[in-house]
Amino acid sequence: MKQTGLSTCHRRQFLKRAAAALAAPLVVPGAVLGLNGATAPSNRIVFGGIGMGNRAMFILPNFLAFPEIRFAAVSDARQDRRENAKKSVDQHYNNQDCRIYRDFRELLAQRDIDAVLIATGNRWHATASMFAARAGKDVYCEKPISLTIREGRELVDAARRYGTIYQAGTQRRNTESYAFAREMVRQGKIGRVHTVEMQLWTGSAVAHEKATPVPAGWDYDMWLGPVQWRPFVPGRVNGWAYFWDTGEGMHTDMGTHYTDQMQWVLGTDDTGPVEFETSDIVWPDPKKHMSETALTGTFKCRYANGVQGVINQRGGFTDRYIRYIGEEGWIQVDDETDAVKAEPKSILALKGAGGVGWGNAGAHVRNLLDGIRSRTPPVCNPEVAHRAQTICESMTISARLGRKLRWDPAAEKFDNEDANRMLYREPRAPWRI
Amino acid sequence: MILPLSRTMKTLTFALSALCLAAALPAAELGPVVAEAAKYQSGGPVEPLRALEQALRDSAGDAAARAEVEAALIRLLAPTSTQEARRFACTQLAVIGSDKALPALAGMLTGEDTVGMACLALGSYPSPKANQALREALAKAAGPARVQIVVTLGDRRDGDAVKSLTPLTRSPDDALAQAAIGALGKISSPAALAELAGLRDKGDPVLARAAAAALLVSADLLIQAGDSGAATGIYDALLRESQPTHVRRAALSGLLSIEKDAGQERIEKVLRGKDGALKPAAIAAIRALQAKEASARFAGTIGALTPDEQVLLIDALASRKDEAAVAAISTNLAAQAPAVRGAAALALGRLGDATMVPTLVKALSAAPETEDRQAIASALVGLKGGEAVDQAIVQALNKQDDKTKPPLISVLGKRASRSSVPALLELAGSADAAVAKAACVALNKLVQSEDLKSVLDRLLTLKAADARAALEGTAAQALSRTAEPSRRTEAVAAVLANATNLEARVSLLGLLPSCGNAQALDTLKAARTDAEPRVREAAMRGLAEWPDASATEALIEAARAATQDTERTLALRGASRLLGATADAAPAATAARFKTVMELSRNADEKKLVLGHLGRVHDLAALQLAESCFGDQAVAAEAALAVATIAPHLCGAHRQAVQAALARVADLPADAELKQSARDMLEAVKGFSDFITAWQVTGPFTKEGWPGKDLFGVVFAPEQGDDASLRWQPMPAGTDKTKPWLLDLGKLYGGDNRLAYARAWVYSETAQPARLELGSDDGIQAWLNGKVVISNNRGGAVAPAAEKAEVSLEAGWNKVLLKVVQWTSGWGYCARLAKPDGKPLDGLRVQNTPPN
Repeated sequence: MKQTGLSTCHRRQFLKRAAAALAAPLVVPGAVLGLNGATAPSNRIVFGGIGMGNRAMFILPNFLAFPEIRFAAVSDARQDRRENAKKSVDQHYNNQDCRIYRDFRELLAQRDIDAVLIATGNRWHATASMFAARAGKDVYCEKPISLTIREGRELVDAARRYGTIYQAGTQRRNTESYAFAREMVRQGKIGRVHTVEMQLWTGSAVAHEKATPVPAGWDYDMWLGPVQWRPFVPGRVNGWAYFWDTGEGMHTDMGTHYTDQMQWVLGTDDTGPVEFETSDIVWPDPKKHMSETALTGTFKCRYANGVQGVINQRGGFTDRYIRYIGEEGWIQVDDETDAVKAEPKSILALKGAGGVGWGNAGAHVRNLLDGIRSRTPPVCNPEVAHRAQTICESMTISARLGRKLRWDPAAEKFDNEDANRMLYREPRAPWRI
Repeated sequence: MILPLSRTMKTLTFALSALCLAAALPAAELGPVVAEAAKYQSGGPVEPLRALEQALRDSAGDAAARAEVEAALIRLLAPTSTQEARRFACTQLAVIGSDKALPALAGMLTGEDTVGMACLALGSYPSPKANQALREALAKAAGPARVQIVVTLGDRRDGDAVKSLTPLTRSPDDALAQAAIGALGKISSPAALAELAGLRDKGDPVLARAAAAALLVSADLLIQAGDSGAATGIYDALLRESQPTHVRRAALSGLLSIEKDAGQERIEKVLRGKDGALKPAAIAAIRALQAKEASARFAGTIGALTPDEQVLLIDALASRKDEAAVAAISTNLAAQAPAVRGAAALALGRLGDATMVPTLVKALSAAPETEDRQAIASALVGLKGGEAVDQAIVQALNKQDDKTKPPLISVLGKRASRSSVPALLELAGSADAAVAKAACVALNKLVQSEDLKSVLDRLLTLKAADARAALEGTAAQALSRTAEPSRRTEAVAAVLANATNLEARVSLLGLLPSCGNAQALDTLKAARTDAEPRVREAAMRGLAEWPDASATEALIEAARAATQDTERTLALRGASRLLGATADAAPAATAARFKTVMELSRNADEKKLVLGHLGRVHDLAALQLAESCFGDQAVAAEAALAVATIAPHLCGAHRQAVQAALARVADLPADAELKQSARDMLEAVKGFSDFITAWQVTGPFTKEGWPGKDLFGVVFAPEQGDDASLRWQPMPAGTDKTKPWLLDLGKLYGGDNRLAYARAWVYSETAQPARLELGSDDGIQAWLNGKVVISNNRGGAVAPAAEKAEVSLEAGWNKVLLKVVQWTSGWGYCARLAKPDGKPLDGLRVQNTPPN
């Protein structure tokens, strides 16, 4: 079957533009930019929110904190969530102006909205982003940016096509501890890197549970969106992260943060590893659990130059880290605390005190706003985010097929036909651009 | 083949074993598995589904086995299967389905409930026959099923579907019309493009917008196929002002990507034109232009733009790293608009090198606004060229008056070049305090061990008295970057030996705590007898700031021998701080030393100092020492705070003493919040009832990569005897007033997937039967006198008496050992000894230390 991806030439052009944009940002009033065809009142960038659950409410203050942002509308398939979000926004502005929508397409049709925060469940990320791009809106989208490699590539194409300024929510690129680690690696402080070790926590399992009526105030059909229909089961809905078509499990949901860092540090934002392999996977007990994704396991990749990346999914929530191991030492960022460790320890003397941790996404949002003003791609633009996410999704495919896979990062194809057929899942209509 | 039920179950069991062991499931055994899978609904067992997934994995490379698996999945598609079972089968056929599965899948395309899952399978089907099945179904399907089929035909880029899709673009069903338009865009055949062009120009606004979006997709695909001419036609039409801005921007970007000069001519035309909507996109494109002459060409258009657009263009030019734009940008350092001036400065910082320094320094001295100065300073910090730039700044700096020097010195510090250190050390000796201070601040980041002597020497020759504290800070930085304490001490001692200047001697003595070894401590002790009072005071301050416990006794002795209040107060402050910091290692001994320090305190202020650190000593004697101060109204509040700080750590082991002390806090002149806290704790302690709260704990114990649940069976040192290397500590109790019996290991240790041990000794006058009641979060194992009495690896919250065991207490001391496992989330336990019928068992004594 033919693919709709664009040529390598296009991708490289995009990357060059992206790289060119990562310099000192400038602030230009929105009026000059003809944002979305409409002039933003008071030169503000007007945002809408799509998907206003827990994650959205966690990150929303990072947007509201910017005086140049006006958050004007929210949408969610759940009535309680959209009303709760409206309450927060209205409280912040001390008015009742925030509009609410059940269907995000109505929000996207509002001419005064320049950009959207997308914080839906993972199943919606790529689709909602492409709908926003087509409507001429700029985008901040939570990670992971997609759940199949092909929809990730299509998102890249859509953002390029419409000139969408898109920032993926992998905010650790704007976190000082991670930036410091990258700088040290790139300065050669640990010699040639041969391994990148990443650890995240043990996945959860969802127990068997029967279907129940859809709760009042839920538009379950909209909640499912592009995913093929399944009956409403509270455990599955709340534990969506642990099913293939709605989540893909922790090595993807959290892993994409670390593969994004790995790509950034290794300087491989326009390419990726060439080999994937998984081992020691512990699956949920089918006697007890309906969930599908791994509890623990080792997810490996290898780049053409021999550098290995290893995601260890195991241990506790607070035990997560990323460690770059070189021929002359190592450097590690503990994700829970943003603390940096290194050997030789002399590296640590070069680090300044304090700094913004990953829990504060302000700098990441700032980076997006600067991109919107100057029409230049932010640091986590679609191409780099897609490449990072491709690693996680390839690991998923390797684990599900139980085999080692070779990958051509230029053609974005595996050496295996089964795997290539897993590059994509046809979505449920009409959720297709 | 139909198998009897018993055989089916046997086969299923086998299948599950195969799943668990990752062994191959014989294809011939799939029939019963399918039969079970066909009944699957949420809530039911998923073993049959997992068995089929395993069979699919195992069939890789084995055509016969693969055919068997496909056949099984086709059977699972039968209408008699549940909806969820059919959905599952489609997810698998999406990976391995062949033409054999097409009839069954085709039959599902016309059903509203099944078309989505069938298209899920067909979307990634390699066989072109899938297209035919979809087209045929489109003719028969109705309603939402048609929308799904149209979407999938588009995704498969089926050129033969255009005839069927074209009339649907004008369907009154909006979803169907939009889906058809999208599909035509992906197919992008001439006929499809013609239909879309018609909709763009003549259709209603909604369909016209959809057509424009579809045409942009087509243009991408045409470029990919090498037909740039057709793409150009699409883009030209979409560039019209009647189109939405974002579509026009997309069209412009598309054109720029395919034009022979990479769009330079078009960009210049846009920049020199009046179409403001397209200018930001045109300017953004300049960043990636490859042509060498582009920078100079577009630098020449700055004057044709508004200030806001100029800012964008200057930034874009800077991103090209091309010196050809430098001259044009430099002229904008004097632009009328502040934003343009700032952009020009920042751009020059990215583009320029050492030759740019004189221009920027001149602009800095003439800058009208603070923002201008900040921008120019940032530019200087960012200039490429390493030491050449640093030296150029140093040269320029020497020509400036003292007023202009500090910002340039700050630039040198931010450039963080070691080559600037000699110049900065020289500037630190300036008679102008602002210049000297700025130099010290810049040096703070730059000095290394090898600069230590130079910095210390500068302390001897410092001219600006107001800069002394800043220079001392710089010296401390250099010391902190000198690894060996002996080298630090030798360097300071060498300079100190030759120091005749009183101010310098005082400074150098103040640096000795940063040296931190015995020689440095001796030097300070010796200076305590110097003839010069300021030297003695400096030595006393140095001792009081000493970083480890080695100065404790010297400080106590100094307090004892002090002849002046200041001297004694400093000594007591230092001694209390050091005792508090090391209290955990030996609480009883520390409490004894605190008693001595308290006795040396002569006034309320000094006692407050002591009490401020006493709270860190988790020992009964410390509690009693604090309580002994309750009678002194001047320090009662501080004593109460110390008691309240110590109490949670002792309330388990010394329940009565803590209760008595807390009860007294309520009558003291302490603040209301503290009193309330004491009352709450008192209530909690009363609530202990006959729960055992006197425990010692040790942990946490982990095994890398092991989930907590699996740690339950692992034997760690505490189970093998009272290993002297283990660090047992008192278990804080009563931390949750709603659950006073709860011993919260999560609060003490934190983390997931680990375990800890707790031990206590219970004295019984006689041998007697009893009941041990435990609650735990998560798994718990209990030993009484070395014998396991309770063992349950379970998850969940702490509930009193969740586990019970009949036990026999021996006459005398009985040892209770608990192992409490943490899976995730909460972590804690509670324990009680009662009569066998659960009633209180009086007369027991409990302690958390081994009996003598």
